[in-house]
Amino acid sequence: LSEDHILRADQESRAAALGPDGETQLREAIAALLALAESLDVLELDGVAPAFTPSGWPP
Amino acid sequence: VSVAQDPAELTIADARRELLARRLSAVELVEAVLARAERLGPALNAYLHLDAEGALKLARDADQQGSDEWAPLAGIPICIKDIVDVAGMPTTAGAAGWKRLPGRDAASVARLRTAGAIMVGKGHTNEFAYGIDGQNPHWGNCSNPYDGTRMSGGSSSGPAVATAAGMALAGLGTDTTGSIRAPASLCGLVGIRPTPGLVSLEGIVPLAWSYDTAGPLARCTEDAGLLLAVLSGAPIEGLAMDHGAFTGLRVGVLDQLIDQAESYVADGVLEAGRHLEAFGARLQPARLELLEHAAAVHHIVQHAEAAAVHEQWFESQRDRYSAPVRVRLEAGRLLTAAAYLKAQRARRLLIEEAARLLANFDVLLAPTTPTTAPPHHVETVHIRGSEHELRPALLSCVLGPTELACPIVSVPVGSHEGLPFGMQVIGPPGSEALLLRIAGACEERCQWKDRRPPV
Repeated sequence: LSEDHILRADQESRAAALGPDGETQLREAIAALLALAESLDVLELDGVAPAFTPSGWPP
Repeated sequence: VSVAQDPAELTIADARRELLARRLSAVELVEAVLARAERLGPALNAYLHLDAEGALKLARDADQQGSDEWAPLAGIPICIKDIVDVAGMPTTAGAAGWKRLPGRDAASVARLRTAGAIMVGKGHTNEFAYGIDGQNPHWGNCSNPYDGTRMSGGSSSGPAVATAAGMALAGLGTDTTGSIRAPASLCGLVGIRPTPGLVSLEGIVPLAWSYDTAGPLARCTEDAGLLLAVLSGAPIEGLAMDHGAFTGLRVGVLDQLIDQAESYVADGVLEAGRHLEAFGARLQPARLELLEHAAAVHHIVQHAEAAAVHEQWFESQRDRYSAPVRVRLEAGRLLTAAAYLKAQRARRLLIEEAARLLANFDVLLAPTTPTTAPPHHVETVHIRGSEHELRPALLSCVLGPTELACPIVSVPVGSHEGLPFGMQVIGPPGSEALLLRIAGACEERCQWKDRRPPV
């Protein structure tokens, strides 16, 4: 996914009066979040459940 | 400034002693904090809503009770962060276009009220608590009582500033990513981010459910412990200082976060650690290998959850948000479920690593903020000679520990050019009493609890 793809998926949000500066900021914010998500790909997540699932904090 | 010429400068423990001995009335105490609020209000902007009449009425009621009936916080004036409901007072969340008028107290406020506390008013907050600096374009900025040209830290800015400056004897704040700890550090207070779930969040505007907590801001560890006991509904046992109890205590120093801070902050934390060593603790470096991923996990989870919280009113209110908060919420709305779940799975690895580390250490130490309070309106700060963006810098030491789902106490451990800074004491879930004992020992060394800002 790219920020372009994601923005196209929510045209209404993009069009809602963010203005040129706002849209640039939004693009940068999405790109930053995508980069952060990609940075987690180095972790071995096989068999790992989300933190909010019941097993909770290990004893 | 020495303590106790003015009742507004008393700790809760000292005020309670004076109240019980009838050397001070609840009305005198409330009048003292209201006088401060009136005098300092325009300069510090700690309160978004003040209920002087209601507070004085409750104080008169308290004074009519016999001393033997007095609850633990009877007559004690408290400032409540304005994302927490107080019956009869507006909850604005520091927003421009959002407000509610609750008919009942948040669960945490109800506990304070049952314990006799007097809710003086609603404290300043960053817009929807989504900030770390105490700045608010809609309601004005909150200022640091040690230097009014500087930031208070946030987002529990009002409760922190009111407590530090004598406009309340303590505050109730919330901490999603350091929003109790950062202002506690910058305003010279003790702040507790409790074990998630220990203090009810019912009646509080959420920011991000995975991280939201509520807890006290206080002038000393004794007051913070008393407040936490009331807020949690359970006694926090063993707060009395017993230095011998530190013999063999395994204290880890999170060097990764020490390295993020200015050298004077790092020195203050290490001096506090050496103070604990003098009482028998064993100090060693500690390292969380996955800490470098904390920011990625945190920003993804928080953006997505905050967007979900705001979903119900965002469409009708979007033009009334400040640009930075709106952009975060717009971006959060566009995050994929896959990205959110990847972050939540990565968070589990961080929590599991913390559990393994805390099997070898009783507590971990780290700076709370990397510097003292920055001036208002700066966009960058200098740390160890390098320029850093303000928001990531203020989050740099509090964000990682937030991921671990552990309780954290921030306690003042030093000052630089007259401005305070704090240290985080981090322990396994349910270890608040131990954390407060350790923080209490550091507080004794630093003596910050006896200082008051020159207001």
